[in-house]
Amino acid sequence: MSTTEDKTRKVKLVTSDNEEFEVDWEVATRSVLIKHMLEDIGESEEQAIPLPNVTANVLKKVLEWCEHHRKDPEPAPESSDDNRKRTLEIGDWDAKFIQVDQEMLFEIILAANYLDIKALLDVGCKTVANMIKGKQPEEIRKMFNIVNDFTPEEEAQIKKENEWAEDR
Amino acid sequence: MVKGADSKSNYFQSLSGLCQLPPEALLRVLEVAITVDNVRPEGLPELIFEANNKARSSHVNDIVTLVASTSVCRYWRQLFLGTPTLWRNISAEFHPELVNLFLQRSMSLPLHVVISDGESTKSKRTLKNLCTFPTSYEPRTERYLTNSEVILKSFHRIRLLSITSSQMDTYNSQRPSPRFLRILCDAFDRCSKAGPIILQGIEIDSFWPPPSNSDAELEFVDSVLSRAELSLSSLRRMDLRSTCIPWHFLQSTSQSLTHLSISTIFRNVDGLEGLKSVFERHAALESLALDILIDDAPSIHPPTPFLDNERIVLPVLQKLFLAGDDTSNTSILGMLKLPSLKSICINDKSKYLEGGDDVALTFRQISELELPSASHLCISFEGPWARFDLKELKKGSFASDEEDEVVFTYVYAQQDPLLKSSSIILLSQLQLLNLHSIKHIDIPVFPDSEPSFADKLVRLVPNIESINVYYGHPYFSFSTDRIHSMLRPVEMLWDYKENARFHQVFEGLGGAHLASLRRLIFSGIRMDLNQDRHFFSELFGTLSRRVKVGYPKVVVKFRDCEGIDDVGHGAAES
Repeated sequence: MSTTEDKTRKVKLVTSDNEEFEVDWEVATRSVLIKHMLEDIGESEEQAIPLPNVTANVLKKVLEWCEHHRKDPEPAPESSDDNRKRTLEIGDWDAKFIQVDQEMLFEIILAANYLDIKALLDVGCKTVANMIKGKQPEEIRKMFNIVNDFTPEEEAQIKKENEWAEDR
Repeated sequence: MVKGADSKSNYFQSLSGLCQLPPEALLRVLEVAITVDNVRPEGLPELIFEANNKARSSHVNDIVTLVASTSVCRYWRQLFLGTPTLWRNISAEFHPELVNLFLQRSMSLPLHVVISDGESTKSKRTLKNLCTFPTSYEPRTERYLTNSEVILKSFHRIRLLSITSSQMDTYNSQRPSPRFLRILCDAFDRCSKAGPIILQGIEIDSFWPPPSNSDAELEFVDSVLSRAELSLSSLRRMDLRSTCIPWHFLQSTSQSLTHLSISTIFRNVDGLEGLKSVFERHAALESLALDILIDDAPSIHPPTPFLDNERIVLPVLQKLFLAGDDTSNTSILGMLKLPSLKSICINDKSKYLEGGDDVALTFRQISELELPSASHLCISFEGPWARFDLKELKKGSFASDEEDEVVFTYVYAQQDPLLKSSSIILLSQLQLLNLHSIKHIDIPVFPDSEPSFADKLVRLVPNIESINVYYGHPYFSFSTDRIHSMLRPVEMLWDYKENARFHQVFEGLGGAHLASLRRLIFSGIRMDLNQDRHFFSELFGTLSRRVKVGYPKVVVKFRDCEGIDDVGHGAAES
């Protein structure tokens, strides 16, 4: 539970390329990783949080998202058994935010995963999911620069499986 | 599993950013990609969505995307094939070889399965073939029955079981198919002897024999259900729709039931007494949905309420949906005590007289309930003239003197197109309510609506953000410009089943009255690439021109549309 004091507090973050960002506590703690680190270091305001897996340009983008969603409620834990409420829908702001090139998209996903920002990870995953949905394997390969490394025997089996899937 | 990917594959795939994602993120991508999008529209009350059964039947994933994703590269294939949760949802609709693959790849995980004696009238194949070969089309009965048999051999692994009947009578088939009944009987027989059952949820849908076929009905009721009772000891969820289920079945199943939904069940005598005994048995219910008419409900109105000590307490029930006539609803409400109820949704199917004040009576009935924990209210009226759904209460009380506290955020309004005064009546009801917080409205639009309907409606709902407009009722043409111009929707649902009137969407898109539109959703439409190419070319051209003159971009989405992949691709090119 955050206190009023927490909300006015500033947090320093240092990226892998040694750039320092000072942000509101409420913004920084959208990241569960940072939140836990802050809890560990206690009241020490001067101590910067090192983020060795995130570069400055990616963190800037992530913080933009955190700033916009600073007031959002904590996401509810998802039951692994229940996929009924999953959706491909992305909110208007998020859809615009995530209109970036593929490299940045994957960097954002990686950062969200590392920083443990579930809602942002979801936005990234949904964006990629929307790109994959309904596509043929060759289209997916082409879109993401993936090499087809199957043997001819494997290809034959895969071809059959795809035909079975289409046969409904 | 991922570590097993060979180094050669890893080297090649290092070129792809997507393959650099951690396996859990890549899995998340696929889980979302294969999800059949069946979610509650923004603004639609959860209870209405659930009660209308729209959240169901989503056990089956998009298997085309799933299988295609396993065919991209070795890394993906190893990862996805080594993740059993992706393969646990199985349907009798699948190709038989895929049924076997899914059973293997899901390893020992609990399964969510759909079995049937034939394909649904709404399946893609049926729709497609009925158009092409309307007289000679036969559903794939043999595939469905064989698959059902194979799937049910793994009964001890089934956690959620959905049983449906195809409803497709053909020259040689009888519904429900006697062979299907035998398959079910055998499965229930076997599983009761084979050890522990993990079945937690069962759905039985559209499973009733023709009225003339009493033998089949008896066989279903007596053979299948009597066997099923023994297998349902750990059941927590039961959904029964359009089917023939006697009360005694519900009176003898698991007492651990937390979710019960009954919609249109047949041939039950002693309705109120039977229902009472069901409630007495299932005191652990957390969610209850009843879409039934009680034959023996008292004819006096309002019915005499039960004495307090006669009422059945459902101590943990949080959600209640009732859809019946006024007498049935009131009778059911009158027999219950619901100290934990949070959401209540009542669909009143009574046929009220035009201009009568019966609506107020229904409000009074609700206001007299003792519901100390309730926070959400939804009432809908389904008469010959108008209907609307409402939500939600600010305070936890339905006392009539606090009606001012009711703040509605959603309206579903339906007019009777055959009744000229329908829109006037609808407006007169809406005027009684505080609608200033409404953000979302569903309203079918009719040409015969009262001329100033749109002007009056917009004064009632000044803060509207989205609107779903249902077009294309077969027996009238429409003119929606006025509604569009007044309400400035940001979302439209195009739910029209024929392509012939597609051009009418441009009436809105080309003009300023749809300037705020941000999402256009096509639903349940059948496409023909050649016929509709021109439409999509024009549509996307219009959308591009909108952006050029400063309107916001419009996201176009397709839900349950036939042949849309090709069209989408073509449109993207254009």
